[in-house]
Amino acid sequence: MNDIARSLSKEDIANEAKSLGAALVGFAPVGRWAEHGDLSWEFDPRRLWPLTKTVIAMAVPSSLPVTETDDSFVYRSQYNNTNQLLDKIAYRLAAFLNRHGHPAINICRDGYGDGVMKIRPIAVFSHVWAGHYAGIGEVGWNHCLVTAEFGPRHRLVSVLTSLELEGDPLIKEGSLCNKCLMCQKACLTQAFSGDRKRDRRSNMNKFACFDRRARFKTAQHCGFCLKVCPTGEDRKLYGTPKVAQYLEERRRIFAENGVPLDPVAPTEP
Amino acid sequence: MPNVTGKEDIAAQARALGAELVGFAPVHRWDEASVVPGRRPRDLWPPARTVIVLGVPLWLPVVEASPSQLGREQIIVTDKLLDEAGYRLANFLNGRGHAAINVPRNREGEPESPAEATRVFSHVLAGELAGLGRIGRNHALLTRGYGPRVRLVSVFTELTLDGDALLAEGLCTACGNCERICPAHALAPGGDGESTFDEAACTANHQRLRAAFRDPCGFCHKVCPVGADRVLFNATDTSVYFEEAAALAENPFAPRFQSWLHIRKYGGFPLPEDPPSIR
Repeated sequence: MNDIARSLSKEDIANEAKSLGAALVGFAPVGRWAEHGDLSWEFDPRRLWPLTKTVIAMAVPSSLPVTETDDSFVYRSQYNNTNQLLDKIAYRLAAFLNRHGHPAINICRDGYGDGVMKIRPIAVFSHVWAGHYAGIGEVGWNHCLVTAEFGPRHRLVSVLTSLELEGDPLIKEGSLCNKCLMCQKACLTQAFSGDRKRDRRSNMNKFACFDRRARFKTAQHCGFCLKVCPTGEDRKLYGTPKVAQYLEERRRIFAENGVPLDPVAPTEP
Repeated sequence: MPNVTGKEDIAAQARALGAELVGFAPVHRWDEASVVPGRRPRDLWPPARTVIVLGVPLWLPVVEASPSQLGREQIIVTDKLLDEAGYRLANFLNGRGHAAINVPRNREGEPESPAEATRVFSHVLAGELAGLGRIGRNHALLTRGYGPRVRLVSVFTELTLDGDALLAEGLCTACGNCERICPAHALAPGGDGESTFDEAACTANHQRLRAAFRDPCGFCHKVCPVGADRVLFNATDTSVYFEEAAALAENPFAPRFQSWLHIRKYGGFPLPEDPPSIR
């Protein structure tokens, strides 16, 4: 801890986060969890750490061509490398805040020991909702945070601090996920269901999603609900604005695994 | 060879790499401290002249909630950070013509016990000899900033540098909290105000927690009253750790303990000592 306890501004903190490697940074006043009521009190940041006043959400991109790849090794490497980078960014940002006299803790990325997800498929903290309340993106039909920059192709981490900071504006509902249902159509396991007119986002069957590795010998890493999302500046950058080709790939994966093709989930009620 | 790289340069580089604590210990301090032969820096690498010790804190609100998967992740993340910082600091020195090696944290192979890593080299003792703190009755390095809630790593260099001043006074208050809280009963009062350490008992508990993805135990770290972090995180009252079990037995939803229970509930497998409310 430093003797120099000066108050840090949002800009100071965002600059530090970016210099550590964060691509997107947002600030969520802790009151937004209760105010919006999307999650139960158990998943309010104050339940995890009562001194929390602000949640700082940060993201780094998962590149679209790697998300699209057939190669599970490359895909997994990206997954692990981005998680490790995020954990380091978040730890060091918490250290930066503590050093300046503002209590802070980072919430690590990888929230499960092997096999634990099958008995209790919920993490101690939702980085996705933190990103939503910090205005980095909007929780979409696929339960991922859909961002303007990368669609859902990114990974997130969070730092909780007792420093009060002004919140960033929330994303207008429906502006990043218009419920096109491409994620639902492309999902290998039909994990998403719901009524787009009635529901803000799908119901997700996490156990169906977990079981994909048992059903499909190829495409172990899946990633369909990420790569199929039409939102994101990254689609222009990589020159793949269209998404229909993924439905053809889906048919091929069912065929090569000898699994009967699931009917594509109904789209228009 | 003249010293073209000063301590300030090295410390600034270490901080830029993520170290929050940096200290320097000339290798002769191991001889003066009568460290068992085989565990002195020159036994590991004969050209060593100075040991540079880097430290990063563990956040008290996470340590307090242990045993938890989040606590396990905190260790994995800080150890990785330290190993990378140590490696890069050694490269920094090598690049300037001063031979150096980093001695890793030794977490990659998941040591069987908290004490196993010290069989090669003790970063805790190095931290004491580099003036970062003093070893307490819980056999951890107690620091002014964070008590025993620090992780450490060491870099050896052939460069001769002045040692940092040792802490003249011990920081351990001999309150006995660590001995009383230890769930493995591994710490017991010994002679000379020190405690004896039953490594087998500590290891057995560690392995049990590890199987549930909820290692390390950390009880002897969370109860230590030393450290400015207790003020920072508004947690100066250590009696609460001793009241927890009885308070939860009376009221499983006692508000004071709900954040710890929440952290313990997710990410790892249940443990027999978990109260029914989180099983």
